[in-house]
This record gives sequence, structure tokens and C-alpha cells, in this order.
Amino acid sequence: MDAQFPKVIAAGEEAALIYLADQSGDTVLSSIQQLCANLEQAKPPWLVELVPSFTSLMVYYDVLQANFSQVQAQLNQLFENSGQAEGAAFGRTLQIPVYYGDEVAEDLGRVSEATGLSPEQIIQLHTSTDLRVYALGFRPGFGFMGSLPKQLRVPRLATPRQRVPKGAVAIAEAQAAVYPDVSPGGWNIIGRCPISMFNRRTNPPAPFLQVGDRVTFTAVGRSQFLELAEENGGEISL
Amino acid sequence: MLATVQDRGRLGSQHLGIGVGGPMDAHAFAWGNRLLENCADAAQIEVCFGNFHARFAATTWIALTGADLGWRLDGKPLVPWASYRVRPGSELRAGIASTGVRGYLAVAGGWQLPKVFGSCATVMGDRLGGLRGGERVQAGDQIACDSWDNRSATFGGYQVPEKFIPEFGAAITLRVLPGNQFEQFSQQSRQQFFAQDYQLSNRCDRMGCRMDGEPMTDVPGSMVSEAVPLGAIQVPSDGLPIVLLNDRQTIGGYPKLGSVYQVDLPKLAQARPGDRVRFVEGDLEEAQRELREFKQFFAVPLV
Repeated sequence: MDAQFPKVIAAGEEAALIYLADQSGDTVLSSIQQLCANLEQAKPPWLVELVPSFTSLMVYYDVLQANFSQVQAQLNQLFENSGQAEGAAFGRTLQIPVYYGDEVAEDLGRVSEATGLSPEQIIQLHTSTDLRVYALGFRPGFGFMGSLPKQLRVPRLATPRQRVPKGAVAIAEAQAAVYPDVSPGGWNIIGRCPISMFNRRTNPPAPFLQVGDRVTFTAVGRSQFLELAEENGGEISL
Repeated sequence: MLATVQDRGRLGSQHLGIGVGGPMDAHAFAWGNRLLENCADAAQIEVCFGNFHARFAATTWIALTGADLGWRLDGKPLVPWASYRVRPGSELRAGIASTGVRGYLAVAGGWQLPKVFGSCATVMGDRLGGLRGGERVQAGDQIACDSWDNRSATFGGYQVPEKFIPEFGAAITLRVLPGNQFEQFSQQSRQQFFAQDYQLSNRCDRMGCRMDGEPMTDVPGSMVSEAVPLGAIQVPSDGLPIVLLNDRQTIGGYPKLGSVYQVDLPKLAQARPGDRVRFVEGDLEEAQRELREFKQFFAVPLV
């Protein structure tokens, strides 16, 4: 790992942000997961919560329990002790069904134009790429999954939509996602997933994805989508 | 006019993309619970600007803090920053805030709403907490509170000592802990940021407060998303800063100059569109010391 990392900065009075790399990828994801595991095991009294993202880990702490330099020292020590991450073991393997029908794949034509690929080729690439969940954010249960192959990368919409439907499967640049709820959004919609990414029928609601998960998309037909949607509580429709 | 139920916020679930919420004016909120000998996390109603009307169905105590919303109990004016006894049938009405923005209505034992991910804080964007899954308080809602019977019969109420009551003016100064991408902003942009009087834009809500003013001439491009703490100052490509507040997203990819001292955020929570906002450079030691003092002060019980 690069000598300039890890770099710990004070992002607030009770927020220490550890940068572990410049660019996201499986290696840095493993390091972040390893550091999270070490911290959760060590349970320092100042620890409030951990928020992983693509290349960094935010450590929220209690300023009554420690000041920044104490947190910084302990984080550096935990990082050194963890050695090289053996994070290949982290993360579940999940399959996410997607219906790519015209009536839901609002931007498939646009993506086809931008990439020069046919809709069939786009679906083929989207379903044959192994993705990892690098971060959850934007909305509860919204997983940022990467990385898409170069041929499939398209920019966000110039003007975001006011209303993206729940279950919309979308891509932007190197990333893929499934919208967990109705929300505004600027990604290119290429399909719909019958499984809720933030299941509000349970108490508390259950996020489908976790950081570190390995995900592949699987194409399903219209009737299979409807069956799966029904099985999953009928929250998502066409 | 927005009223939401808030406790201290939803901590421990930000890694799932679940935001924190909580009171915009943490100082007024802390006093509200202190005036009733409540636990620090007891839920209160945050009332924005006023036009609020409630009828009590139980004998209990309430506390009013934050902006003076022109409160009246059965027609009789009440000054904020004090606790008051209410009885079944008592009518509490707010007028319109003369200064400040947010008033807090605390009740003995706290407003009782189901908790989700450990909190009943209303985060509308997440559709979590509050009433009906993340919704504001609306006319006709009934909210339960603890019965006063369990509490001390000798309780006689409190008033906040004068010296702790803030004045809400038309100009605020916010101290900044430089951090994150601070060094990536040009010298000129940093100077522009600290040298000017911004005006609070009318695009302000529980997610964040936007500043109007002279845009910074050059702003670093967007970056890999990272977790965003309370008070973070992000600068999108238009060069005008936004201070991110309680209902912010958990992670974000705009460059940040650092964050506003947490003890200064109540001033921003009570500022109005058009008010003058000035940012001054602070340091970590001072910011941590003052936050520690704030937390220690409210950790010691009144009695």
C-alpha cells in the first residue's frame, strides 16, 4: 500500500476520517473491512460508529472519551497490527434479479446510443460483471456497486429526474445501483428489480445490501418479475 | 411551518445509508430536557416559525426553549426557556417567531413515539421516525407522553438563568475547523470564503443551509464520496458554500472546506434567510474543548 496511506484527518470535533487509497477497488475495500472488524473487536470506549465509503472510513467518536490525537494514534496502531488485509473472506455473494423490459428500462435507448452497444449487449455486460458494494448512502439501503466495464460507462443525466421509481436498476459512470425507494435521481435506468433494497414491511426495515457484498445481476422475464415481486410483498410493480 | 418530533438522533446506522436527524438547535434542545429533569435523549417537538396549536389530555409539565414563538397557554403569554404545568384541556398556541426560527416543546419524560434503529427522530428524506414513517406533526395527530404521576410531587419547574439564554440577531459568526479538502482549495478561494459576509439563502432546510454571496473563483472538482459529518461545509461547482445539517446524506462527493464548530450550529439553526453569515478560521483544540464543555455541562444533573 502507498506510503501516504493511511492518512487520518480530523473531519470534525468527533469525526476522524481515515483515507486508505486514492481510488476504490477490492484491495482498499478489504483494508476498510479489516479495519472495521478490528475496531469492532477492540471496542475502544470512544467509538460511536463507523461509516465506510469507497476509499475511506469515517470513525465517529465521543470527545468526552478521547481527543483527536488519541484516536489517531489508536487507529494507526490498529491499522499496523492488522497487517495486509486478507479481506477476500469478507462479503456475501448475492444475485439480484432484473427485468430489462422496455416499459421499465427508460434509458436503455440512451445508453445504447452513448455506448454504441445494442440493448442485448448492454444486458449481457450488466449481467456478466461481478460487482462489489463499496458504500451505502444517498438513501437508506442505496448501495453503490462497482465497477462496471469501461464499455458500459455513461454519464449521469444532465437533469436528474424528480421521481425515480422504487426498484429502478440504474447505472452511472463505473457504478450500478438499485433505488430502494421512490426518490429523485440522475442515474440511467435500465431495468427494474422485484426485491426491495430497503424492506419496510419488517420492523425495523431491512436493508438488502451490506458494504462488501459481491453482487451479480440476473435477467428475468416479465412473468418471473411479477412472481418475485409478489413473493417479496408486492412493494414493487411494473 | 414545520413541526417534527426529534430526539438526539439515529446513531449507529449511517453505514446503511440511514441518516441521523436530531434537533437543529442542540443547545435549546438540551435545556428543554434539563428543565424537566428528563434524560438527555427524551423526544421533543421542534416547531419552525410557529403556527402551532396543541391541546393537552393529561396533567404534566412542559418546557419551552429556543426561538420565542409567542407561546400562549390558555391565552396567557409564556416566556420561553422555562417549564410550565399543564392540565387536561390546557391549550398551547404558538404565534409567529419575532426573532430566531426554531422553538422546542419538551414534555416531562419525552414525547412517546416508536423508535426505529434506536431513535424516533423524524428524518423525512429517509421516511424514518416521527409519525407515520418520517412524517411531520400534522393537525389532528395525538402524541402520547409519560404520566406525571411517576414523578416527584415536589417538582416546581425551572427557568434557564439569563446568562445562558442566547439572543438571536441578524448577523452570525461561525467558527470553522479547516479539514478534508481545505488544502485543495486555492489560496484565493479560501480568502474569499473567510473575507466576505454571506447572506443566508432561502434554500435552507433541515438538510443544509446554502449561502448567497460572491462565488469562489475556483473550486476543486467532485471527488470520491466520503462520510459527511454534521456541520460539514461543502462547495459545489457554483462556488457557494452549503453547511450540511442534521438531515444531510450520510456520504457525499462534493469538496469540503471543513466543518462548523458544533457549538456554533445553533446560531445557524436560528438564523433567517437574508441574515449575514461570516466564517472565521478556528482550530481543533478549541473546537474540541468547547464541545467537551457543552457535553459536560449537560451531563451533570440539575438536582
